[in-house]
Amino acid sequence: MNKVVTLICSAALGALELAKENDIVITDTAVVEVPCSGRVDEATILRTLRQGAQAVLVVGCLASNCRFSTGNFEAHRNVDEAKRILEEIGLSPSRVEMVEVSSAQYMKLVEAMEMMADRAGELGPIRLLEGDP
Amino acid sequence: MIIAERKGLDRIIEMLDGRRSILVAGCRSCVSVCQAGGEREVVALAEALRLHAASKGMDRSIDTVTIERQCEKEWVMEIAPLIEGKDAILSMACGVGAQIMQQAFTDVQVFPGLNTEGMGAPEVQGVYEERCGGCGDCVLHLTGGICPVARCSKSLLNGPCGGSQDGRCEIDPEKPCAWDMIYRSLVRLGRPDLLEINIPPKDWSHSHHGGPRRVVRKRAVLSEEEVA
Repeated sequence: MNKVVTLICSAALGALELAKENDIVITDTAVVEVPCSGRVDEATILRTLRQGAQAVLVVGCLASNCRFSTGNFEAHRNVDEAKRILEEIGLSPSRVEMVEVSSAQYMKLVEAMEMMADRAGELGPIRLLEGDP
Repeated sequence: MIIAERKGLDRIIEMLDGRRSILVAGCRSCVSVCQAGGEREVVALAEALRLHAASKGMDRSIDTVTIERQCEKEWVMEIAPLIEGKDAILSMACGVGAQIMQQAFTDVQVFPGLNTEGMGAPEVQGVYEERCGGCGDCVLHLTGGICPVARCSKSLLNGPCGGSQDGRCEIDPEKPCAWDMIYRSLVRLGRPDLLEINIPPKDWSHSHHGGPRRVVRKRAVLSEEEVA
């Protein structure tokens, strides 16, 4: 499994396309498109980690640019909740981060993804049971 | 509604130590509205426990269910098939729900996942405040619709005390003085004269001081023939 799973709002996906057009290759990261970053709740983040990701990056639109009005605000609250839970169970809350990008800000996205890949490498894998779903 | 708050995960993990097959059971009533023990919180907590188990290399199975009301045994009995093989139930309901769960499933230990804080209401989204002291002898008609038992830090029936300043409570200046609110509410209602009424000491035997309370609604109690 890739070290990092990036859950990206479909409206911010243009930034990833621009990165590809500029021949930027991002390794160690699986990208999952979601309809809105606000859809990513704390359970989804925790499940992604349990299923093998070493870090999770949630990518939302810029504040006030959400087409559903407040999805990225919701996402921030959910990421904060996931961080609190991780801390409570003795895992580093820095395994989860959120970044806001417009579809034109591909370098901001790339930097965030590279930063999370580095961090995942530093933190290492979460011990998992063999065959854990 | 009943307001509750999830126990710290360290406490929950400690309570469940040694249990291998756990059912996390939520409730769709009060604790769902106050976002402590509804479906979303149950799923998140189960994921947290699974992730914790995985990080520690523990072999532990965790299932989830959220029922309509954990405080009614008819709803609780519906999940009987899910209890089979479990060695622990983590109840994400209020203390009432957790007790009914244990009463229904006597062979499996029930652990409380929440702390029940009291009876209250959402003030704004995500902020819940106590509103009723459950005294069993309501005086809201005399106090402008503001409960002095629950909302005055000293539960004074004839206030304010000498410590109220600028409408704030001396116990915690972050909190409004209930008797200041009562005064303002009675003025708005055109009934400041009600402040002249000296509310006598309460008969606390109607509250918990009289032991566990029991309410019988005769109209609803089935006859022996009907039960048979």
